[in-house]
Amino acid sequence: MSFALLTAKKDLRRHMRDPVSLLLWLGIPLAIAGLIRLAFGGGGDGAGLRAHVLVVDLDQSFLSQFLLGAMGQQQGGELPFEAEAVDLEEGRRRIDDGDGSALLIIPEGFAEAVLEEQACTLELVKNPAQRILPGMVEEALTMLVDGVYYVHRTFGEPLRSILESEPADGAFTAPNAEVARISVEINEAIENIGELIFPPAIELVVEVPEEEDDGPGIDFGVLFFPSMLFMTLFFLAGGLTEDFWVERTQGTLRRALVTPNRAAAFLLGKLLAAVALIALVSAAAHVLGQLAFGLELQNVPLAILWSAVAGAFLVLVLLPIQLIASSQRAANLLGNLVMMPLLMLGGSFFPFEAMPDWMAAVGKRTPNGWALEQLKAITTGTYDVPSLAVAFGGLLAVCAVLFALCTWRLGGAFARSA
Amino acid sequence: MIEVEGLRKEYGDLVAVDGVSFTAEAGAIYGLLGPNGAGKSTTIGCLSGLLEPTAGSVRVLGRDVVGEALAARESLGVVPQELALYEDLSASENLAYWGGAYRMRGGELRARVAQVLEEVGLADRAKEPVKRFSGGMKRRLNFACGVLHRPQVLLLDEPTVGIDPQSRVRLIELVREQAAGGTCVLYTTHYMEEAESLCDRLGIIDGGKLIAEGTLAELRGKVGERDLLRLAGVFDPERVRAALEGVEDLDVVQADAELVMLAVPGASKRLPSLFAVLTEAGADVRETTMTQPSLESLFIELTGKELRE
Repeated sequence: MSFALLTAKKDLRRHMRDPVSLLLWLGIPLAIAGLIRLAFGGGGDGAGLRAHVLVVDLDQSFLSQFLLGAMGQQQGGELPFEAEAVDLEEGRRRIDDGDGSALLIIPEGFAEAVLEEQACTLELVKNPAQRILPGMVEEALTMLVDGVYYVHRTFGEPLRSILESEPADGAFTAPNAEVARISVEINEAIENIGELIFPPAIELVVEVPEEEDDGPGIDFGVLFFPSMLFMTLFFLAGGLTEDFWVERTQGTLRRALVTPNRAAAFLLGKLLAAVALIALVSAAAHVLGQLAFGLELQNVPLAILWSAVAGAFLVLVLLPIQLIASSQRAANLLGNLVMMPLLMLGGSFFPFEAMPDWMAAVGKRTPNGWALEQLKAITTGTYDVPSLAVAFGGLLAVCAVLFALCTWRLGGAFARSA
Repeated sequence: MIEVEGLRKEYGDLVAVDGVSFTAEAGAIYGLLGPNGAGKSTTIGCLSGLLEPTAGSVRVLGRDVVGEALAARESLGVVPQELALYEDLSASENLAYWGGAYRMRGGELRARVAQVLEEVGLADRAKEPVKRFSGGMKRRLNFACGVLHRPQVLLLDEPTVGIDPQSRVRLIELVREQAAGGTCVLYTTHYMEEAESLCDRLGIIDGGKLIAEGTLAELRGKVGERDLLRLAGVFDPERVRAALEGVEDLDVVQADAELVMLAVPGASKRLPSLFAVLTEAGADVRETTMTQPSLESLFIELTGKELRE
């Protein structure tokens, strides 16, 4: 095994022995993918947070059934409920056990009290172990109760008729004449309040101009994913270049340089280890990206390859700063001074699509911005093979030049000035 | 084995090593003795090929360390002053990496790693990460990494700095074993007693210059029979120098407001007369130390300062 491979193996082993850093590196894309998914809704099944509400209906009336029915509806996800009818004993036991977000108790005489416009209390027991979901239940129930009140104010008389005609067995059957009379009353009531609750509609015309691009439709999350990945790679590359200072400070760099091996072999080994780690992080990010945004699977291997080569490029862009600086602190300061503007301009903090035209034009000409555009094209499947081949060749050529520069510095003043 | 001729190393205006020449032989320990900043590590840096000399030449086993760098390094083992180890890796992983750097492979490497770990007393800690080791254990492992590939020339840069007495004794034994096995050892230190007990030949270096060189006996001969008298108190340096100028067979090594050092034969017998002269010169002597002829007194005589300054 050559010294370069030996060094790469040694570095990978060292990185694996530092699980905190490794988890942070792997966690960055995970966290970023999660944030994007939360921010843009991802490509999931639309199931968000839903509260599980246990409902005890002691009234068993038309209105209590109406309230239960309203809670059960999922139309447009307006109410974040999942109602389950239980008896009182079971409800109290389960909420005490923390099973459910809240327990709603509709008291006996609820419908009568509403129709007689008397005070009535709904009891809501919230699960103290949960913070957000019970709060959502409380807010939504307040709206529902208001709704029930307005239904009563508007259709009070017909409803009272229905209630009075309710037979003892609870079946809502009435003579046809009675049904017709109630219907006419409801219709009149609607006509009377129509002008108030159904004001003349103002037509809103929304025009969404179609993009000229005839390519496939692209989800914003998919578009933003490469930016976030590149930010991750940038930070990762920055962290990996700092390891050269660790090697220098602990004396292992000088020990390596007095072995019968060239400085280039040592640098190549460290670079190979860095590329392997970058590829690993990139692969993890792409798997998550595929799950979160439904990235095209067929583009993922090429995207990982491009990320790895671009990662090596980022390492070699940041490494000269480390090797030229007079101290590790100065190196980190200089590195941040270079990295932050590049990240901002290069489309990692904000996608080019969200930038003013002039800024996007400048950003796409930064090294990382250019590499990011290639990655976007790969991820979205809008690349063309000859251009990408040229891009790969160009990137590798620049890497070779930077590698030579770094070798010269590493084996020279950087190691000797320690 | 090691031939250094007119070695000079400059860093801008600073001359770190100035015209150093010496030869070290196989099976012997050559000591470079000098205070911190004397130029010992720079000399080792030039010998190992890490630093490029400004002038002069360094040859290891007849190979020029600049012109034939990689070939010269094949036969070199370096034990640097700092603990050049990977703390996250185990002792055996560190050794395997550095052995691999000298093209040792497979069974040969594994056998040698086990042997060296046994020699430095770390066999039972072979699998532990180095970060759990004590300072002395790290020093021994640092040494082991330098000798793993059985170098013909071993450069040791203050290998016993900051370790416990037990580890120091063990390390010195290991260095002796290397020399006994035919290795040419170059050993830098600022510990006088270490140099006296360990080295077959010594070079005293200060300010980048080799100010004395020879076997221990030869160097002691240079001091002669003169004792070193160290007087602490309150002095007027000019009056002291003037008063002592006429005293026969006496050298003023150092004279300042708080310390006067004199090289004088039979110092104990001459103390009363010397005190009389110093009192006449307005001196207030509060403490007197007398050192018999030694490497330390030679160093003080040659440099005008103590080794640990």
